[in-house]
Amino acid sequence: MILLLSLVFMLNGCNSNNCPLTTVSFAHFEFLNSTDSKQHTMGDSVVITGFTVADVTVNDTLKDGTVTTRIVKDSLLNEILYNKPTTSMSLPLSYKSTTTYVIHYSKKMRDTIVVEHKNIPYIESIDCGTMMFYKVNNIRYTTNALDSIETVNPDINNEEKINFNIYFPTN
Amino acid sequence: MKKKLILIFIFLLISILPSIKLMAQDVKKLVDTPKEEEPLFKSIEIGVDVGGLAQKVFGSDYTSVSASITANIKNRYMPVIEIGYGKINTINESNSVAYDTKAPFIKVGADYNFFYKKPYLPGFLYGGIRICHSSFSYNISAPEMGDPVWGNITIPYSYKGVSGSSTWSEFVVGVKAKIFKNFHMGWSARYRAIISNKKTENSEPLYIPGYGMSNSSKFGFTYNLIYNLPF
Repeated sequence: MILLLSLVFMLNGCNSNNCPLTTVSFAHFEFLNSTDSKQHTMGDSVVITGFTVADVTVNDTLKDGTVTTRIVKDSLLNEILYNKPTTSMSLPLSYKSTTTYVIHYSKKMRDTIVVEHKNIPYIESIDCGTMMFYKVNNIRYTTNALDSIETVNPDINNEEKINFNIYFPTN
Repeated sequence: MKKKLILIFIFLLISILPSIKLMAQDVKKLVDTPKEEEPLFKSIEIGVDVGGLAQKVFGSDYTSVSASITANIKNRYMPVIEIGYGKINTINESNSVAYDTKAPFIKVGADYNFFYKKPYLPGFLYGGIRICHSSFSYNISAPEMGDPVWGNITIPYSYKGVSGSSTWSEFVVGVKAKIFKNFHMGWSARYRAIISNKKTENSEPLYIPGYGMSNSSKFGFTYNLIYNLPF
């Protein structure tokens, strides 16, 4: 019995901390050919930028020297979210309800993808703290170079699974 | 933490000594008595688990206390009901996540006396199973979440009165020993397995009354003081 109790105490003392390695959730995109759904490879000059619109606090200095504070809507730009994606890419979403990505194929050719999403703050364990998950409500995009986008899994969390397929013309 | 465990261990070691002495004396007296047919209802046991209170004494954030009623059928089968109350109010110092809840819980099951052929012994080893349930509401909060990529965007995290409900099973191995007349005490080690744990979109119960921390060790123990009501 003493051995049994010792075992219980030892096992209770070994509380495992199974926190996920990353607390940032990414939207996973896979590039496919629209004709045969095989993997599509991008050129090596492609860059992804992104922006979101958020409330930004602005301080105005008036003529009499007083400073006033107001909140305005402003775009928060992220210059390079992903550099040279080849067959897939994983992009972060913002804590606002809309995140916009721009795929720059070249200086003159680009597509814009707008993801409308619900933000879901989540705590899995008291040791691990907060994480942000997302649920995709809608996706809009231009079709300058891409053909279409298919939503495979609207739940975006810290798991490595494909959320969107982006289809490109084979040529 | 290790110091606390050693203290608990020493406490249990000291508390077991009188019952071992009594057991040895009683065996000497009773080992030669003729075998008797066990009655259908031998006794009703009323017990209190004070193991959860001991955890509080040794600095744990949670408290749990429960009472049990056990029927002894032919000194072999022992259906049992345990009713208790658990509460926690904790803040994680590293990430400031705060969680509190308090609620009753119920455990229903049965034990099997492995020493049923040796009723002359003042104690016995048993194994059993419990189906357990608790419905509760909890409060959970954390510091504001800041957008790690775009910055300048924060989202609060605070949820009050979240409804939770958990069902789990417990596999029990324990001993009971007579300490004085109808007074007994016992220990049990328990392996717990969650059957269902109601999650919400934003959280899951971190502490379940009667179970403990939902993501920590699945092993637990009870320390019971028992009074035997003879039939």
